[in-house]
Amino acid sequence: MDLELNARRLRVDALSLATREDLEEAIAAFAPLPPFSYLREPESGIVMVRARVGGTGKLFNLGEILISRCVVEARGKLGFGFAAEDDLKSAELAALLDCFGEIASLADKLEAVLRALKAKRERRLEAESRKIAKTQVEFFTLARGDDEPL
Amino acid sequence: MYVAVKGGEKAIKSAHALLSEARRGPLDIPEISQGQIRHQLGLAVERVMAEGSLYAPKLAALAVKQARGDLVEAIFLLRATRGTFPTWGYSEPLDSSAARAKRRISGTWKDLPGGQILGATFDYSHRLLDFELGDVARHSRPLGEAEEARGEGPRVPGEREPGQAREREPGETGAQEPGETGPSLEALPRAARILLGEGLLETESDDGETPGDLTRRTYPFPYSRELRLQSLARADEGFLLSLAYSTQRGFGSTHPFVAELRIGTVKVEFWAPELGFPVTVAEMEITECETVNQFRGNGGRPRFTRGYGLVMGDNERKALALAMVERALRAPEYEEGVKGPAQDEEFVLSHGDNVEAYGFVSHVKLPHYVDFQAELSLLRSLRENPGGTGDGFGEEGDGDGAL
Repeated sequence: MDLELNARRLRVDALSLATREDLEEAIAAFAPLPPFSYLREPESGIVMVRARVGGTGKLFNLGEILISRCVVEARGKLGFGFAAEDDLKSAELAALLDCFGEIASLADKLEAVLRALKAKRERRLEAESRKIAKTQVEFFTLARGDDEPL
Repeated sequence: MYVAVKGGEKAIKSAHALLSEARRGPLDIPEISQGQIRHQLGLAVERVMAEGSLYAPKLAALAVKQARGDLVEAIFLLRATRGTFPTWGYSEPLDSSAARAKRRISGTWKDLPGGQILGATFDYSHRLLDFELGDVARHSRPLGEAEEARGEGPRVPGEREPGQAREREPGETGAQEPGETGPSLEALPRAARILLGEGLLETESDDGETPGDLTRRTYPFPYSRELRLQSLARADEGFLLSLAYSTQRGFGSTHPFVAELRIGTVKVEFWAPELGFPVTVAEMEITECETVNQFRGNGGRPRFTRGYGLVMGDNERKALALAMVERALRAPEYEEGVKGPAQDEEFVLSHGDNVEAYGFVSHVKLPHYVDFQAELSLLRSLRENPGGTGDGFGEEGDGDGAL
């Protein structure tokens, strides 16, 4: 995948995983919003999640997940947005922000917004994993007698 | 003669109104929110998602609320809701090795790479009720009694302390302790790899085939392993637990070791046709269990066999039971013979779905007035003519529950 596509992918990924609050805060930075239209109105639907037997083997269908998606167009550019669950607003905001990344005059601002989104997520995950890491077991080997070799 | 009867509309309407009232409970108790259910009764929500076979935490929480905490009813509600959404296709395969772990343990290797991470577990707790979590103190505590004399383990920051200002717990400052780096919780290596290197364990490989999908059509027995895993992932947790237990008690033993059990969050990727590449559309929690079981020769050199359990959400008991039952169902593959119910594919897979089971079991409470009248008059006539042949006795008119 070329660099540009990869950057787009990372952007869509990051926007999908952002919380509604973070997306609303991010979109506020672009007010007043440029006029836009829907290519695909915000909608919810179901995707069957596939996994692999033993984590590495054949594919199987695990169960379904509810997601939302939206496609917008602004200034001749398209934006694709996804969100977990039945959350049309988040999908719309994500699509708009993705679209802004394609618009030359807004791209730099979007970069800064994305960096802030990622930093927030990282901080959140780091706080979580720090607590989890404290539950890692440290084993002590107990000697059964001073005079006997183990 | 067929007599159509009608009626009960008023009674049904009133019953539903009464149900709403019963659901709400006394009005002087605050109403429970979807968020409270999602986060404070989280494991109930996870179970509803797994067996409802739809990962949608907010809807599942709503289902738990609407069902008054009856989880099978909530699972039914979630399954029914699923039918109201369009289906968009299939995700890219989950990469469970890349899960951000919140718990990961192994029963086979003490020092496995990445370590044993207990996470938020009920294990090692005393299973004594913690009355401090209750609304009202059971009795007043004598003045001066030591604080640490209660409960098991430390209090969670933010948890209510009745009648007392909260004190800071050690290490609760929010700042990282000096020198504490902690393990990486992402991309923990799979424990089973340890054995694969030596060829001591069966390998799993992808043959590139598209797996069957039970939500799209029905399949004849015997199922492929992939179909079994789909069926078991949505099966009733209690049913799987009992079956797994039955294998341990001798009804088709599989001698499992838990190579690895992990709970973590994975990204769900979905192919975006307009973009031409897969993108992350959401995250989901999964519980994965790999068992290493009794070895088989199979013509070549003997090696361990494997059982696998994967469940949506935080569902450790089910993932473990699932892996054991999954391995038990491989009995014909290893020519072990089907000796117990857990090894009988048709028995296990036809009866594991609690929505189906609930539906068929509870249909008998629907009106069977005509069926029953027929049985009753037959019984009366048999008693009047003791010398009769008894023909027809035991025949069942019921097939669809409509009579």
